[in-house]
Amino acid sequence: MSNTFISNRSRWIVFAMSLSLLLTYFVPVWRIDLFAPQYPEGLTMKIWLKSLTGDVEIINGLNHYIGMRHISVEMFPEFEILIYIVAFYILLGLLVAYAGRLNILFWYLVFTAFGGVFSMYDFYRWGYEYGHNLDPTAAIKVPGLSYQPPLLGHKRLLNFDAYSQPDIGGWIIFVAATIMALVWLYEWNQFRKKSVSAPLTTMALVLGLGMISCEVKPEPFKYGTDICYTCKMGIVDRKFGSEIVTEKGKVYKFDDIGCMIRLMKSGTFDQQKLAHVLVMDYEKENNLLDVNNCKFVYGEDVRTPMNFNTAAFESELPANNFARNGQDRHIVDWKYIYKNIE
Amino acid sequence: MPLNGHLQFTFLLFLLLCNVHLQARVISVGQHDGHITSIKEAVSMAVDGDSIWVHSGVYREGNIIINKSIYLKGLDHPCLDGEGKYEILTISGRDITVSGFVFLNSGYSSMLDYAAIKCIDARNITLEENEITHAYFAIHISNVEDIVIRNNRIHGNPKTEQNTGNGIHLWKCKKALIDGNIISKHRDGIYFEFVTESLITCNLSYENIRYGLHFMFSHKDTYTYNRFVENGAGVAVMYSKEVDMQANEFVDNWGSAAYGILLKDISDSYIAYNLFDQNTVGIYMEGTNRINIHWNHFHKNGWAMKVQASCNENKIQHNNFSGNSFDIATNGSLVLNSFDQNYWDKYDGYDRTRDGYGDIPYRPVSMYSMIVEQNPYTLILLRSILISFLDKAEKAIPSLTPELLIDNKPLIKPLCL
Repeated sequence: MSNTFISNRSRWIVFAMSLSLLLTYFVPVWRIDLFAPQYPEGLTMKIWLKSLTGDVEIINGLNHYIGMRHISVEMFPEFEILIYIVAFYILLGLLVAYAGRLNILFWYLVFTAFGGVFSMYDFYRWGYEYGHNLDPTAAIKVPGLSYQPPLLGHKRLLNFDAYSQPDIGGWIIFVAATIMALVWLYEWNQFRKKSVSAPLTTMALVLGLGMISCEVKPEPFKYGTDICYTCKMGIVDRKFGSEIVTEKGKVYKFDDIGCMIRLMKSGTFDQQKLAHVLVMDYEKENNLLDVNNCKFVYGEDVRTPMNFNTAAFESELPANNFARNGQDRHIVDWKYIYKNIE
Repeated sequence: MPLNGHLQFTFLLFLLLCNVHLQARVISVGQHDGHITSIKEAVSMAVDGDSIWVHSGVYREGNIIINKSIYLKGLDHPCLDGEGKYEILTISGRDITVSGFVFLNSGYSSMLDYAAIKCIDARNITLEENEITHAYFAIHISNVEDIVIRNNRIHGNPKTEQNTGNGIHLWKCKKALIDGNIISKHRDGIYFEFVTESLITCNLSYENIRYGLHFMFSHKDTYTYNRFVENGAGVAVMYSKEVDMQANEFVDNWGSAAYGILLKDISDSYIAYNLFDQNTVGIYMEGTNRINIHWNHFHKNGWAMKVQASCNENKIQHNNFSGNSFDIATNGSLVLNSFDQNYWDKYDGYDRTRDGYGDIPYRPVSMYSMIVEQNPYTLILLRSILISFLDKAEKAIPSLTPELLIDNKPLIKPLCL
């Protein structure tokens, strides 16, 4: 993470966005709407930073019948502290703008995201408790039904359509956070281009030179020099080994067929984009065979470098001979091996 | 009386020297004197507990099989010649000792693991003071418990070096002692696969094609006081647990993929009091967990340590880092290992509090090492002005280097190790 400074313009944006959160003190943050045939114009409950407004009394009246608790500001300790939390975020945002460091901005955004997630969780928890904790002596009882309001969006409760969504204040918070995230992204991108550009150019040059010699074809093993891509062991055993060549011509070598399968299964490659998947012929030095056109023999006593104990042969005959030469050796195909090696 | 006393003493000494073999017969084998000229013949005559003393000479007997509890002793370095065709000695059974022979030209097969001395399904075996040259595998042990391999000199064939087997190869063994051997020009000097509760000590393994020592799936082993010099890639400890690595020297393991130690998927181990001198990479770690690396000296390596992001909870403490091109390199930004209280010669902070620790933390990962990690070709730029400039800038404003890879209490003076 970078510790560099962000531009003054970005600092002003962060400054303005932080201040814009002040508006949330004067507008509702969240709203819950209820629609039903008997209330065609709808019932609305607005949640502010420190109070509830709207048709709260009517909703409470309705709730009485189904045994839900009376909603009042006193029920929510959150209303006591929410204003201070928002003030804290505003102050923090101003400090971030003042400091003007890229990484501090990043952590501020993480912290903000965390705050957002936590408040949604708190809201959900309240809704759950409120909707489930019903008075057993209520007039209307519907077995198995709870009245938990939706966290966000629409939900049908009995004959009511309930909607839950941010109100003006909520939108302000959302937009402010998004803009600051964009500022960070922009600055980060700038920084990356700026500071690494010199070595990057060199890298690109050298890479470019390297690319010219690339062709999409198998590469013979250089024993004693090549390293298995997966297990990092030097490749020296001529009887075993495997190789992947990607469509772009990149070659991966392995000392054991199992190492190749492990890498293939790890999701590193798009399986469709492999030009060659090859195994080393057990009998002939540096003879790479296509996995789909060769025979495999598996046996505990075959003993490959990484203990996957599978040898590959060009055709049926040598495979049969080899299988007969040991105890409990089986001829198997590529699909079987691929499936059974984890 | 004095003469008698002298005789008595000699007899006692004789008793001591022969101890267990006293009750048993000694069968002498010699090509010039004596009746028996063939080791095979002597082995067929022997019963459990006998000794066979082989006098000097060259013995070409193909494959000799020992499956009795005997003591095969070479007097004056008799030579067993495999003529490039045979596995020379095949041992199976229990309580067998082979000492004092020269093994020459054992057979080679690309399909079979031919060895100068092969030992299968045995118990309580001792192989000592032998000299093995130009073997495919020199000593090949599988499924043996209680084995001592001591003071052997093993030298592979430099001509066919690309095709050679391992010097001392152990597979599925328990309680082995590998002590005081000198091994060179083989594939792996010492190879352990499924070997537990064993000790490797005081060996010299040099100029082997791949690793000086190679551990695979071998737990609860110790190697101490060994020297690993100029091997293809150093020492590899892979897929193992509870390995104790102390007081070894890893020297001159140079090459594009060479290491002092390559750690791959290993956990709960201890690396201490070792010297890593002039290796491409002192310690390379991948998938390594809970390893304590203490009191080691990293000197003049390309990289003292390469710690891949897949390593967790390793403690690197109280080590000396001096004269390395790069102290630490890593490929990720998440750091779950601690690097405290080491001595770094590149540290340029002050100790105003005079507590022996620098006042500001040290970041052992340079920006350039991060760039090289992502693109090895940039190594061309090593020691260029551009790079020193970049590193200085990075020190002032860290950006690419992992923020948490930091020594909070760098030592001001090197440790005496």
